Amino acid sequence: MAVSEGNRPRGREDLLYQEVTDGGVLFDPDGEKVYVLNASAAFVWNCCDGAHSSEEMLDELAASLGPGAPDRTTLRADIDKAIEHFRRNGLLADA
Amino acid sequence: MPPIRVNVVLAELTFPIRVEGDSSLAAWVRETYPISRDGRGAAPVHVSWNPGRGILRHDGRLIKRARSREELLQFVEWHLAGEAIRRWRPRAFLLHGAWIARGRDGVLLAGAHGFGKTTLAVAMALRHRWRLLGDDVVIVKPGGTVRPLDRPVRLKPGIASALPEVRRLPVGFGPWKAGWPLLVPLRAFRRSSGPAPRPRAIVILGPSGPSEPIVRRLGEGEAVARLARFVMNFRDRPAEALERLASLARRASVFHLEGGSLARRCAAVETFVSGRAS
Repeated sequence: MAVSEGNRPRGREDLLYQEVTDGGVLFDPDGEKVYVLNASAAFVWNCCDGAHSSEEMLDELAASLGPGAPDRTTLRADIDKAIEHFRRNGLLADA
Repeated sequence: MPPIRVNVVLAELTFPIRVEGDSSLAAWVRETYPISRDGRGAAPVHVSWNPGRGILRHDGRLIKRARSREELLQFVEWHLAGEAIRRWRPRAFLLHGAWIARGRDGVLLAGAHGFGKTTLAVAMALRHRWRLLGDDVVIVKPGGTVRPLDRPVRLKPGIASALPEVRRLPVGFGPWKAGWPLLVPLRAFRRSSGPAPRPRAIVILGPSGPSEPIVRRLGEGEAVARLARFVMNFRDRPAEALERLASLARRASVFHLEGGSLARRCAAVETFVSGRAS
């Protein structure tokens, strides 16, 4: 499922996030599960603040990667995939 | 026999013990643990033995009754380790694992119960002259310093088939005949005191097997996620635990080692500190 442009996902506030050099680690105290996020998923997680739309995430991700960034279609797919992963695992706050 | 007071030092903590009824019990305590000379103050742990009846008390409270001397020694060891863990718990993270070192290079062996942490650690000590600094529990202190809990190494009889060298350890093998693990003092494995090691590599062990060992270097995120399973008090302060594990994984290379005979696993550990592991 592609994330609609108007959607501004927000991560659950009770989750614990730890940044690591190759991405991030999320701990869900409810299910006591640990999720490993690669660098782009970690970037998306940090944008899941209820203020960023997926289009804005895309702009920021492209800017942070600079000239060597993959094309926007690839980045958009990465962002959609990460958000879908967060949603499927119940890591996002209910809208 | 008048009561004998012995001060056991376990992971920087002192446990004064009063031993009564059998002088060999006091001798066992002295041989098994580092001892401090200070002889004043109360001794909250009380161990007594009358033929056929052993009692372990703490602050007057009955902890365990034992029917044999061997059983009583196991309870004493278990109780002291439990007390040390209880006292360290609020101020450090406790990781299930063994801690071995060559020179200043420390290797932490983590893994689920039964995946060969103790066997590999003892093999590195007996066959490759590494120092075995701790088995079962290591303390990850604030700042990321690693230190062992200092409890004796518990060896079950099964280890002798994989590592016959254990039969040459300078300990009595009576506990095996009585159906208990051997409690081997750590000093039996330390060839010299040596410098305090730094964590150079962390090895998460999968099951051993006859195949070639499969070694995979883990990224920092995966390392933190996997190591979190072995932190005994992770739930007490999960945010701090994640931060401490991330710091540990930044300073040490983390590997997953699965399969392989004991000899192959030992060879793999050597490569983790020589820089030859990929």
